[in-house]
Amino acid sequence: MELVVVDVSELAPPEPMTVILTALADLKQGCCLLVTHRRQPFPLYEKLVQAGWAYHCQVHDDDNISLFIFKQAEQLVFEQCFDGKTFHSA
Amino acid sequence: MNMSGLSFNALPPIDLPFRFFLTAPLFIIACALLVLFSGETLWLSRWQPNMLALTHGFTLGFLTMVMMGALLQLLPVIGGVGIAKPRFIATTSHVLYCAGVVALMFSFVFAHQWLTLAALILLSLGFGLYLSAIIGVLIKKISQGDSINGFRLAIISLVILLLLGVLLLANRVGISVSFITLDKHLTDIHALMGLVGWAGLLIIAVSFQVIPMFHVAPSMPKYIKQYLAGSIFILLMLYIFYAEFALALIFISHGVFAVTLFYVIKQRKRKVPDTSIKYWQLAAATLLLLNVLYFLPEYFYHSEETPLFMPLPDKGMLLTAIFIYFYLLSVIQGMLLKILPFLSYTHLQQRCLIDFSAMQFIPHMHDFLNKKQGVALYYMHIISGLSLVAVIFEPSLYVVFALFLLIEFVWLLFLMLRCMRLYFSVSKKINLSNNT
Repeated sequence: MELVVVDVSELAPPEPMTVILTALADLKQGCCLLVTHRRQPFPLYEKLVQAGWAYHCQVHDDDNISLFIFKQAEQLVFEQCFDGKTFHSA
Repeated sequence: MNMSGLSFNALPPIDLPFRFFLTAPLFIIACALLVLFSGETLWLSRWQPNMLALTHGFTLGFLTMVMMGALLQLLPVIGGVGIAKPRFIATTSHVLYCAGVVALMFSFVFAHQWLTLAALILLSLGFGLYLSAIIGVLIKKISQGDSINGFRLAIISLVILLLLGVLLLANRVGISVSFITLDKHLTDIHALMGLVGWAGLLIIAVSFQVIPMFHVAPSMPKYIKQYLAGSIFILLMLYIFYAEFALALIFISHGVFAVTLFYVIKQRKRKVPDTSIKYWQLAAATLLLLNVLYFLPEYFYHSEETPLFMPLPDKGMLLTAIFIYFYLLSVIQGMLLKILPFLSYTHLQQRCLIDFSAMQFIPHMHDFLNKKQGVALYYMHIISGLSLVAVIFEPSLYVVFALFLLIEFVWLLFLMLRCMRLYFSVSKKINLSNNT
Protein backbone atom coordinates (compact mmCIF):
# COMPACT_ATOMS: atom_id res chain seq x y z
CA MET A 1 0.00 0.00 0.00
CA GLU A 2 1.44 3.35 -1.07
CA LEU A 3 1.33 6.33 1.29
CA VAL A 4 0.32 9.80 0.08
CA VAL A 5 1.43 12.34 2.69
CA VAL A 6 -0.08 15.76 3.40
CA ASP A 7 0.90 18.08 6.23
CA VAL A 8 -1.90 20.43 7.31
CA SER A 9 -0.48 21.27 10.73
CA GLU A 10 0.31 24.86 9.85
CA LEU A 11 -2.93 25.64 8.05
CA ALA A 12 -5.85 27.58 9.51
CA PRO A 13 -9.38 26.15 9.26
CA PRO A 14 -10.97 25.35 6.87
CA GLU A 15 -7.84 24.78 4.76
CA PRO A 16 -6.91 21.44 6.40
CA MET A 17 -10.26 19.99 5.37
CA THR A 18 -9.90 21.40 1.84
CA VAL A 19 -6.45 19.81 1.49
CA ILE A 20 -7.72 16.47 2.86
CA LEU A 21 -10.75 16.48 0.55
CA THR A 22 -8.67 17.32 -2.51
CA ALA A 23 -6.14 14.61 -1.63
CA LEU A 24 -8.92 12.04 -1.11
CA ALA A 25 -10.51 12.98 -4.44
CA ASP A 26 -7.17 12.29 -6.15
CA LEU A 27 -6.27 9.20 -4.10
CA LYS A 28 -5.64 6.18 -6.33
CA GLN A 29 -6.85 2.70 -5.54
CA GLY A 30 -4.55 0.88 -3.16
CA CYS A 31 -3.19 4.13 -1.70
CA CYS A 32 -3.53 5.47 1.82
CA LEU A 33 -3.59 9.16 2.80
CA LEU A 34 -1.39 10.08 5.75
CA VAL A 35 -2.37 13.42 7.27
CA THR A 36 -0.10 15.22 9.74
CA HIS A 37 -2.22 17.56 11.86
CA ARG A 38 -2.12 19.39 15.21
CA ARG A 39 -5.44 18.04 16.43
CA GLN A 40 -7.84 15.20 15.73
CA PRO A 41 -10.57 16.28 13.28
CA PHE A 42 -13.25 14.56 15.35
CA PRO A 43 -16.34 15.65 13.39
CA LEU A 44 -14.76 14.36 10.19
CA TYR A 45 -14.58 10.77 11.42
CA GLU A 46 -18.25 9.86 11.27
CA LYS A 47 -18.57 11.48 7.84
CA LEU A 48 -15.56 9.53 6.57
CA VAL A 49 -17.13 6.25 7.66
CA GLN A 50 -20.47 7.19 6.08
CA ALA A 51 -18.66 7.88 2.81
CA GLY A 52 -16.93 4.48 2.73
CA TRP A 53 -13.56 5.51 4.17
CA ALA A 54 -11.74 3.99 7.11
CA TYR A 55 -9.32 5.86 9.36
CA HIS A 56 -6.69 5.20 11.97
CA CYS A 57 -5.27 7.90 14.23
CA GLN A 58 -1.99 7.96 16.11
CA VAL A 59 -1.79 10.69 18.75
CA HIS A 60 1.86 11.55 19.42
CA ASP A 61 1.44 14.66 21.49
CA ASP A 62 -1.05 17.39 22.48
CA ASP A 63 -0.54 19.03 19.11
CA ASN A 64 0.82 16.34 16.84
CA ILE A 65 -1.22 13.52 15.31
CA SER A 66 -0.94 11.20 12.28
CA LEU A 67 -4.19 10.28 10.60
CA PHE A 68 -4.41 7.47 8.04
CA ILE A 69 -7.40 7.47 5.67
CA PHE A 70 -8.07 4.62 3.25
CA LYS A 71 -10.98 2.79 1.59
CA GLN A 72 -12.91 0.52 3.97
CA ALA A 73 -12.45 -2.33 1.49
CA GLU A 74 -8.68 -1.99 1.94
CA GLN A 75 -8.70 -2.37 5.74
CA LEU A 76 -6.89 -5.71 5.57
CA VAL A 77 -4.17 -4.39 3.26
CA PHE A 78 -3.68 -1.39 5.60
CA GLU A 79 -3.28 -3.65 8.62
CA GLN A 80 -0.77 -5.87 6.80
CA CYS A 81 1.30 -2.87 5.69
CA PHE A 82 1.20 -0.49 8.63
CA ASP A 83 -0.18 -2.16 11.74
CA GLY A 84 2.08 -1.51 14.70
CA LYS A 85 4.24 1.05 12.90
CA THR A 86 4.25 4.63 14.11
CA PHE A 87 4.59 7.67 11.92
CA HIS A 88 5.99 10.38 14.12
CA SER A 89 6.51 13.40 11.94
CA ALA A 90 8.14 15.62 14.57
CA MET B 1 0.85 7.05 22.31
CA ASN B 2 -2.90 6.64 22.05
CA MET B 3 -3.96 4.45 19.15
CA SER B 4 -7.43 3.64 20.37
CA GLY B 5 -10.58 5.16 18.94
CA LEU B 6 -13.15 7.13 20.92
CA SER B 7 -16.87 7.07 20.34
CA PHE B 8 -17.63 9.93 18.01
CA ASN B 9 -20.57 12.07 17.15
CA ALA B 10 -20.58 14.20 14.05
CA LEU B 11 -21.35 17.90 14.30
CA PRO B 12 -25.00 18.50 15.21
CA PRO B 13 -27.10 19.87 12.31
CA ILE B 14 -26.15 23.50 11.68
CA ASP B 15 -29.62 24.87 12.37
CA LEU B 16 -29.30 23.85 16.05
CA PRO B 17 -26.44 26.17 17.08
CA PHE B 18 -27.64 28.79 14.62
CA ARG B 19 -31.05 29.14 16.30
CA PHE B 20 -29.22 30.13 19.51
CA PHE B 21 -26.95 32.53 17.61
CA LEU B 22 -29.80 34.13 15.66
CA THR B 23 -31.99 34.81 18.70
CA ALA B 24 -29.13 36.32 20.75
CA PRO B 25 -28.95 39.74 18.99
CA LEU B 26 -32.74 40.06 19.30
CA PHE B 27 -32.33 40.29 23.07
CA ILE B 28 -29.79 43.11 22.78
CA ILE B 29 -32.08 44.90 20.34
CA ALA B 30 -34.77 44.58 23.04
CA CYS B 31 -32.23 45.92 25.57
CA ALA B 32 -31.53 48.92 23.34
CA LEU B 33 -35.26 49.71 23.25
CA LEU B 34 -35.39 49.28 27.04
CA VAL B 35 -32.54 51.80 27.44
CA LEU B 36 -34.28 54.17 25.03
CA PHE B 37 -37.60 54.12 26.90
CA SER B 38 -36.26 53.91 30.47
CA GLY B 39 -34.63 57.33 30.52
CA GLU B 40 -31.88 58.58 32.81
CA THR B 41 -33.15 56.93 36.00
CA LEU B 42 -32.07 53.53 34.67
CA TRP B 43 -28.45 54.46 35.39
CA LEU B 44 -28.93 55.52 39.01
CA SER B 45 -28.13 52.10 40.50
CA ARG B 46 -27.75 48.42 39.67
CA TRP B 47 -30.93 47.73 41.69
CA GLN B 48 -33.22 49.67 39.35
CA PRO B 49 -35.79 47.12 38.05
CA ASN B 50 -35.09 48.11 34.45
CA MET B 51 -31.34 47.82 35.07
CA LEU B 52 -31.90 44.25 36.33
CA ALA B 53 -33.86 43.56 33.13
CA LEU B 54 -31.03 45.10 31.09
CA THR B 55 -28.22 43.13 32.74
CA HIS B 56 -30.15 39.86 32.41
CA GLY B 57 -30.99 40.67 28.79
CA PHE B 58 -27.27 41.06 28.10
CA THR B 59 -26.01 38.14 30.15
CA LEU B 60 -28.75 35.56 29.63
CA GLY B 61 -30.28 36.81 26.40
CA PHE B 62 -27.04 37.33 24.52
CA LEU B 63 -23.94 35.94 26.24
CA THR B 64 -25.40 32.72 27.62
CA MET B 65 -27.54 32.19 24.52
CA VAL B 66 -24.49 32.28 22.21
CA MET B 67 -22.42 30.17 24.62
CA MET B 68 -25.17 27.52 24.79
CA GLY B 69 -25.23 27.30 20.99
CA ALA B 70 -21.43 27.27 20.75
CA LEU B 71 -21.06 24.47 23.31
CA LEU B 72 -23.24 22.22 21.12
CA GLN B 73 -20.58 22.55 18.43
CA LEU B 74 -17.49 22.79 20.60
CA LEU B 75 -17.98 19.54 22.47
CA PRO B 76 -17.80 17.33 19.34
CA VAL B 77 -14.98 19.42 17.84
CA ILE B 78 -12.83 19.66 20.97
CA GLY B 79 -13.82 16.62 23.00
CA GLY B 80 -14.94 14.31 20.20
CA VAL B 81 -18.32 13.63 21.81
CA GLY B 82 -21.58 15.50 21.30
CA ILE B 83 -24.83 15.51 23.25
CA ALA B 84 -27.37 12.71 22.83
CA LYS B 85 -30.60 13.52 20.93
CA PRO B 86 -29.26 16.94 19.86
CA ARG B 87 -32.37 18.02 17.91
CA PHE B 88 -34.81 17.35 20.74
CA ILE B 89 -32.56 18.84 23.44
CA ALA B 90 -31.54 21.95 21.48
CA THR B 91 -35.03 22.73 20.14
CA THR B 92 -36.88 22.23 23.42
CA SER B 93 -34.34 23.91 25.68
CA HIS B 94 -34.04 26.84 23.25
CA VAL B 95 -37.79 27.52 23.23
CA LEU B 96 -38.10 27.19 27.02
CA TYR B 97 -35.00 29.29 27.61
CA CYS B 98 -36.05 32.11 25.26
CA ALA B 99 -39.50 32.27 26.85
CA GLY B 100 -37.86 32.18 30.30
CA VAL B 101 -35.52 35.10 29.59
CA VAL B 102 -38.39 37.17 28.12
CA ALA B 103 -40.51 36.40 31.20
CA LEU B 104 -37.61 37.29 33.50
CA MET B 105 -36.99 40.65 31.79
CA PHE B 106 -40.73 41.47 31.90
CA SER B 107 -40.90 40.35 35.54
CA PHE B 108 -38.24 42.90 36.49
CA VAL B 109 -39.92 45.70 34.52
CA PHE B 110 -43.55 45.04 35.52
CA ALA B 111 -43.02 43.27 38.88
CA HIS B 112 -45.94 40.86 38.39
CA GLN B 113 -45.73 37.72 40.50
CA TRP B 114 -47.02 35.46 37.74
CA LEU B 115 -44.25 36.69 35.42
CA THR B 116 -41.64 35.89 38.06
CA LEU B 117 -43.17 32.46 38.55
CA ALA B 118 -43.24 31.87 34.78
CA ALA B 119 -39.58 32.90 34.52
CA LEU B 120 -38.69 30.60 37.40
CA ILE B 121 -40.41 27.59 35.82
CA LEU B 122 -39.36 28.21 32.20
CA LEU B 123 -35.71 28.95 32.99
CA SER B 124 -35.47 25.98 35.37
CA LEU B 125 -36.89 23.65 32.70
CA GLY B 126 -34.86 25.13 29.83
CA PHE B 127 -31.58 25.16 31.73
CA GLY B 128 -32.35 21.82 33.38
CA LEU B 129 -32.84 20.06 30.06
CA TYR B 130 -29.82 21.67 28.42
CA LEU B 131 -27.51 21.18 31.38
CA SER B 132 -28.47 17.54 31.90
CA ALA B 133 -27.44 16.84 28.29
CA ILE B 134 -24.15 18.79 28.57
CA ILE B 135 -23.29 17.31 31.96
CA GLY B 136 -24.00 13.86 30.47
CA VAL B 137 -21.10 14.49 28.06
CA LEU B 138 -18.75 16.25 30.50
CA ILE B 139 -18.80 13.47 33.08
CA LYS B 140 -17.34 11.12 30.45
CA LYS B 141 -13.61 10.77 30.03
CA ILE B 142 -12.99 12.69 26.84
CA SER B 143 -9.95 14.16 25.15
CA GLN B 144 -8.40 17.67 25.36
CA GLY B 145 -8.34 17.57 29.17
CA ASP B 146 -7.45 21.18 29.99
CA SER B 147 -10.23 22.75 27.93
CA ILE B 148 -12.76 20.15 29.01
CA ASN B 149 -11.81 20.68 32.66
CA GLY B 150 -12.38 24.41 32.12
CA PHE B 151 -15.80 23.60 30.63
CA ARG B 152 -16.59 21.49 33.70
CA LEU B 153 -15.72 24.34 36.08
CA ALA B 154 -17.73 26.80 33.97
CA ILE B 155 -20.74 24.48 34.11
CA ILE B 156 -20.37 24.05 37.90
CA SER B 157 -20.32 27.88 38.20
CA LEU B 158 -23.43 28.06 36.04
CA VAL B 159 -25.21 25.55 38.27
CA ILE B 160 -24.28 27.57 41.42
CA LEU B 161 -25.33 30.81 39.73
CA LEU B 162 -28.66 29.26 38.72
CA LEU B 163 -29.34 27.90 42.19
CA LEU B 164 -28.73 31.37 43.65
CA GLY B 165 -30.86 32.90 40.90
CA VAL B 166 -33.70 30.49 41.67
CA LEU B 167 -33.44 31.41 45.39
CA LEU B 168 -33.58 35.13 44.57
CA LEU B 169 -36.54 34.70 42.21
CA ALA B 170 -38.35 32.40 44.63
CA ASN B 171 -37.94 35.07 47.29
CA ARG B 172 -39.71 37.54 45.01
CA VAL B 173 -42.75 35.27 44.86
CA GLY B 174 -42.74 34.82 48.62
CA ILE B 175 -40.85 31.54 48.97
CA SER B 176 -37.88 32.01 51.29
CA VAL B 177 -35.23 29.70 52.65
CA SER B 178 -34.52 30.36 56.32
CA PHE B 179 -30.81 29.43 56.41
CA ILE B 180 -29.74 31.77 53.58
CA THR B 181 -29.72 35.55 53.90
CA LEU B 182 -30.64 37.18 50.61
CA ASP B 183 -28.40 40.22 50.91
CA LYS B 184 -26.14 42.23 48.61
CA HIS B 185 -23.28 39.77 49.15
CA LEU B 186 -25.42 36.92 47.84
CA THR B 187 -26.34 38.85 44.70
CA ASP B 188 -22.66 39.75 44.29
CA ILE B 189 -21.79 36.03 44.42
CA HIS B 190 -24.61 35.37 41.90
CA ALA B 191 -23.23 38.04 39.55
CA LEU B 192 -19.60 36.97 39.93
CA MET B 193 -20.46 33.29 39.36
CA GLY B 194 -22.13 34.34 36.11
CA LEU B 195 -19.60 36.83 34.78
CA VAL B 196 -16.32 35.31 35.98
CA GLY B 197 -17.32 31.69 36.59
CA TRP B 198 -19.69 30.70 33.81
CA ALA B 199 -18.78 33.21 31.07
CA GLY B 200 -15.16 33.93 32.05
CA LEU B 201 -14.03 30.35 32.65
CA LEU B 202 -15.71 29.16 29.47
CA ILE B 203 -13.92 31.84 27.47
CA ILE B 204 -10.57 30.91 29.03
CA ALA B 205 -11.14 27.20 28.32
CA VAL B 206 -12.25 27.89 24.76
CA SER B 207 -9.24 30.14 24.13
CA PHE B 208 -6.88 27.19 24.83
CA GLN B 209 -8.30 25.51 21.74
CA VAL B 210 -9.50 28.16 19.34
CA ILE B 211 -6.53 30.52 19.33
CA PRO B 212 -4.02 27.81 18.35
CA MET B 213 -6.57 26.22 16.00
CA PHE B 214 -7.97 29.20 14.11
CA HIS B 215 -4.90 31.40 14.18
CA VAL B 216 -2.09 28.81 13.89
CA ALA B 217 -0.61 30.11 17.12
CA PRO B 218 1.42 28.10 19.65
CA SER B 219 -0.45 26.41 22.47
CA MET B 220 -0.93 28.38 25.67
CA PRO B 221 1.82 27.69 28.25
CA LYS B 222 1.17 24.42 30.06
CA TYR B 223 0.92 25.90 33.55
CA ILE B 224 -1.69 28.41 32.31
CA LYS B 225 -3.73 25.62 30.71
CA GLN B 226 -3.47 23.42 33.77
CA TYR B 227 -3.93 25.88 36.61
CA LEU B 228 -5.56 29.16 35.52
CA ALA B 229 -9.20 28.04 35.30
CA GLY B 230 -8.90 26.00 38.50
CA SER B 231 -7.28 28.89 40.39
CA ILE B 232 -10.00 31.32 39.34
CA PHE B 233 -12.66 28.83 40.38
CA ILE B 234 -11.04 28.42 43.82
CA LEU B 235 -10.90 32.22 44.15
CA LEU B 236 -14.62 32.37 43.35
CA MET B 237 -15.26 29.97 46.23
CA LEU B 238 -12.95 32.03 48.43
CA TYR B 239 -14.95 35.15 47.48
CA ILE B 240 -17.87 33.80 49.51
CA PHE B 241 -15.82 34.21 52.71
CA TYR B 242 -13.11 36.79 51.92
CA ALA B 243 -14.66 38.98 49.24
CA GLU B 244 -12.10 41.78 48.87
CA PHE B 245 -9.03 39.57 49.05
CA ALA B 246 -10.43 37.08 46.51
CA LEU B 247 -11.66 39.80 44.15
CA ALA B 248 -8.23 41.40 43.98
CA LEU B 249 -6.69 38.04 43.07
CA ILE B 250 -9.43 37.41 40.48
CA PHE B 251 -8.49 40.68 38.76
CA ILE B 252 -4.78 39.75 38.86
CA SER B 253 -5.50 36.26 37.45
CA HIS B 254 -7.31 37.87 34.54
CA GLY B 255 -4.33 40.18 34.08
CA VAL B 256 -2.12 37.08 33.77
CA PHE B 257 -4.55 35.65 31.20
CA ALA B 258 -4.41 38.94 29.26
CA VAL B 259 -0.61 38.91 29.12
CA THR B 260 -0.69 35.26 27.96
CA LEU B 261 -3.20 36.16 25.25
CA PHE B 262 -0.97 38.97 23.96
CA TYR B 263 2.07 36.65 24.02
CA VAL B 264 0.41 33.76 22.18
CA ILE B 265 -1.22 36.05 19.61
CA LYS B 266 2.16 37.68 18.93
CA GLN B 267 3.77 34.26 18.39
CA ARG B 268 1.29 33.11 15.73
CA LYS B 269 2.84 31.87 12.52
CA ARG B 270 0.64 33.57 9.95
CA LYS B 271 0.16 37.19 10.92
CA VAL B 272 -2.69 37.90 8.49
CA PRO B 273 -5.02 40.77 9.44
CA ASP B 274 -7.95 39.24 11.26
CA THR B 275 -10.86 40.92 13.05
CA SER B 276 -11.21 38.04 15.52
CA ILE B 277 -7.62 38.67 16.60
CA LYS B 278 -8.48 42.36 17.07
CA TYR B 279 -11.36 41.34 19.31
CA TRP B 280 -9.06 39.08 21.39
CA GLN B 281 -6.55 41.92 21.70
CA LEU B 282 -9.30 44.35 22.70
CA ALA B 283 -10.47 41.84 25.31
CA ALA B 284 -6.94 41.38 26.68
CA ALA B 285 -6.33 45.15 26.81
CA THR B 286 -9.64 45.51 28.67
CA LEU B 287 -8.53 43.03 31.33
CA LEU B 288 -5.33 45.02 31.88
CA LEU B 289 -7.26 48.30 32.02
CA LEU B 290 -9.66 46.75 34.55
CA ASN B 291 -6.70 45.87 36.75
CA VAL B 292 -5.57 49.51 36.65
CA LEU B 293 -9.08 50.79 37.40
CA TYR B 294 -9.63 48.29 40.21
CA PHE B 295 -6.37 48.99 42.01
CA LEU B 296 -6.53 52.78 41.65
CA PRO B 297 -6.97 54.36 45.09
CA GLU B 298 -10.55 55.25 45.92
CA TYR B 299 -9.83 59.00 45.96
CA PHE B 300 -9.34 58.89 42.19
CA TYR B 301 -13.06 58.17 41.96
CA HIS B 302 -14.38 60.37 44.72
CA SER B 303 -12.04 63.32 45.22
CA GLU B 304 -13.49 66.60 44.02
CA GLU B 305 -10.10 67.62 42.73
CA THR B 306 -9.67 64.36 40.94
CA PRO B 307 -7.08 64.47 38.17
CA LEU B 308 -8.53 61.59 36.18
CA PHE B 309 -12.23 61.10 36.60
CA MET B 310 -15.47 62.91 37.12
CA PRO B 311 -17.22 61.92 40.34
CA LEU B 312 -18.60 58.41 39.83
CA PRO B 313 -21.69 57.14 41.64
CA ASP B 314 -20.76 53.48 41.44
CA LYS B 315 -17.27 52.11 40.71
CA GLY B 316 -18.69 48.56 40.64
CA MET B 317 -21.10 49.49 37.87
CA LEU B 318 -18.31 51.00 35.77
CA LEU B 319 -16.02 47.97 36.14
CA THR B 320 -18.85 45.50 35.53
CA ALA B 321 -20.02 47.37 32.42
CA ILE B 322 -16.47 47.43 31.00
CA PHE B 323 -15.97 43.74 31.83
CA ILE B 324 -19.23 42.73 30.14
CA TYR B 325 -19.01 45.02 27.14
CA PHE B 326 -15.33 45.19 26.30
CA TYR B 327 -14.25 41.74 27.53
CA LEU B 328 -17.07 39.18 27.41
CA LEU B 329 -19.00 40.70 24.52
CA SER B 330 -15.81 41.36 22.53
CA VAL B 331 -14.66 37.74 22.76
CA ILE B 332 -18.13 36.42 21.92
CA GLN B 333 -18.46 38.71 18.88
CA GLY B 334 -14.94 37.85 17.73
CA MET B 335 -15.77 34.16 18.03
CA LEU B 336 -19.03 34.62 16.14
CA LEU B 337 -17.17 36.29 13.28
CA LYS B 338 -14.94 33.22 13.14
CA ILE B 339 -17.39 30.40 13.68
CA LEU B 340 -20.36 31.60 11.60
CA PRO B 341 -18.51 31.32 8.27
CA PHE B 342 -16.42 28.37 9.46
CA LEU B 343 -19.41 26.29 10.52
CA SER B 344 -21.31 27.09 7.34
CA TYR B 345 -18.30 26.18 5.22
CA THR B 346 -17.42 23.02 7.18
CA HIS B 347 -20.96 21.63 7.14
CA LEU B 348 -21.10 22.07 3.36
CA GLN B 349 -17.58 20.75 2.86
CA GLN B 350 -18.28 17.54 4.77
CA ARG B 351 -21.06 16.73 2.33
CA CYS B 352 -18.47 16.63 -0.43
CA LEU B 353 -16.98 13.43 1.01
CA ILE B 354 -19.85 11.56 -0.64
CA ASP B 355 -19.54 13.47 -3.91
CA PHE B 356 -16.26 15.34 -4.48
CA SER B 357 -17.70 17.19 -7.49
CA ALA B 358 -19.99 19.12 -5.13
CA MET B 359 -16.97 21.16 -4.03
CA GLN B 360 -17.52 23.37 -7.07
CA PHE B 361 -20.66 24.81 -5.44
CA ILE B 362 -19.00 25.89 -2.21
CA PRO B 363 -18.08 29.57 -2.22
CA HIS B 364 -14.96 30.97 -0.58
CA MET B 365 -15.29 31.07 3.21
CA HIS B 366 -15.07 34.86 3.23
CA ASP B 367 -18.21 35.03 1.09
CA PHE B 368 -20.20 33.86 4.11
CA LEU B 369 -19.02 36.87 6.09
CA ASN B 370 -16.58 39.17 4.40
CA LYS B 371 -13.73 40.90 6.18
CA LYS B 372 -14.98 44.47 5.70
CA GLN B 373 -18.32 43.61 7.31
CA GLY B 374 -16.46 42.13 10.29
CA VAL B 375 -14.25 45.21 10.63
CA ALA B 376 -17.36 47.44 10.52
CA LEU B 377 -18.88 45.42 13.38
CA TYR B 378 -15.66 45.78 15.39
CA TYR B 379 -15.67 49.57 15.15
CA MET B 380 -19.41 49.71 15.88
CA HIS B 381 -18.68 47.65 18.99
CA ILE B 382 -15.98 50.05 20.18
CA ILE B 383 -18.18 53.09 19.57
CA SER B 384 -21.19 51.63 21.38
CA GLY B 385 -18.92 50.46 24.22
CA LEU B 386 -17.49 53.96 24.63
CA SER B 387 -21.02 55.38 24.62
CA LEU B 388 -21.88 52.91 27.43
CA VAL B 389 -18.97 54.24 29.51
CA ALA B 390 -20.10 57.79 28.70
CA VAL B 391 -23.66 57.10 29.84
CA ILE B 392 -22.42 55.77 33.21
CA PHE B 393 -20.70 59.13 33.79
CA GLU B 394 -23.48 61.19 32.21
CA PRO B 395 -26.87 59.35 32.22
CA SER B 396 -28.47 61.98 29.99
CA LEU B 397 -26.52 60.42 27.08
CA TYR B 398 -28.69 57.29 27.22
CA VAL B 399 -30.25 57.97 23.80
CA VAL B 400 -26.82 57.92 22.16
CA PHE B 401 -25.95 54.58 23.76
CA ALA B 402 -29.32 53.06 22.86
CA LEU B 403 -28.96 54.08 19.22
CA PHE B 404 -25.38 52.79 18.87
CA LEU B 405 -26.40 49.54 20.55
CA LEU B 406 -29.34 49.19 18.20
CA ILE B 407 -27.22 49.82 15.10
CA GLU B 408 -24.48 47.37 16.18
CA PHE B 409 -26.78 44.47 16.91
CA VAL B 410 -29.09 44.99 13.93
CA TRP B 411 -25.90 44.82 11.86
CA LEU B 412 -24.79 41.61 13.61
CA LEU B 413 -28.23 40.09 13.01
CA PHE B 414 -28.03 41.09 9.35
CA LEU B 415 -24.59 39.43 9.01
CA MET B 416 -25.91 36.23 10.59
CA LEU B 417 -28.99 36.11 8.36
CA ARG B 418 -26.88 36.74 5.28
CA CYS B 419 -24.49 33.93 6.24
CA MET B 420 -27.38 31.50 6.85
CA ARG B 421 -29.08 32.43 3.59
CA LEU B 422 -25.91 31.68 1.61
CA TYR B 423 -25.52 28.38 3.47
CA PHE B 424 -29.02 27.22 2.57
CA SER B 425 -28.77 28.34 -1.06
CA VAL B 426 -25.50 26.38 -1.53
CA SER B 427 -26.95 23.41 0.35
CA LYS B 428 -29.90 23.44 -2.03
CA LYS B 429 -27.55 23.43 -5.05
CA ILE B 430 -25.69 20.41 -3.64
CA ASN B 431 -29.01 18.60 -3.06
CA LEU B 432 -30.09 19.29 -6.63
CA SER B 433 -26.76 18.08 -8.01
CA ASN B 434 -27.02 14.87 -5.94
CA ASN B 435 -30.52 14.23 -7.26
CA THR B 436 -29.63 14.64 -10.93
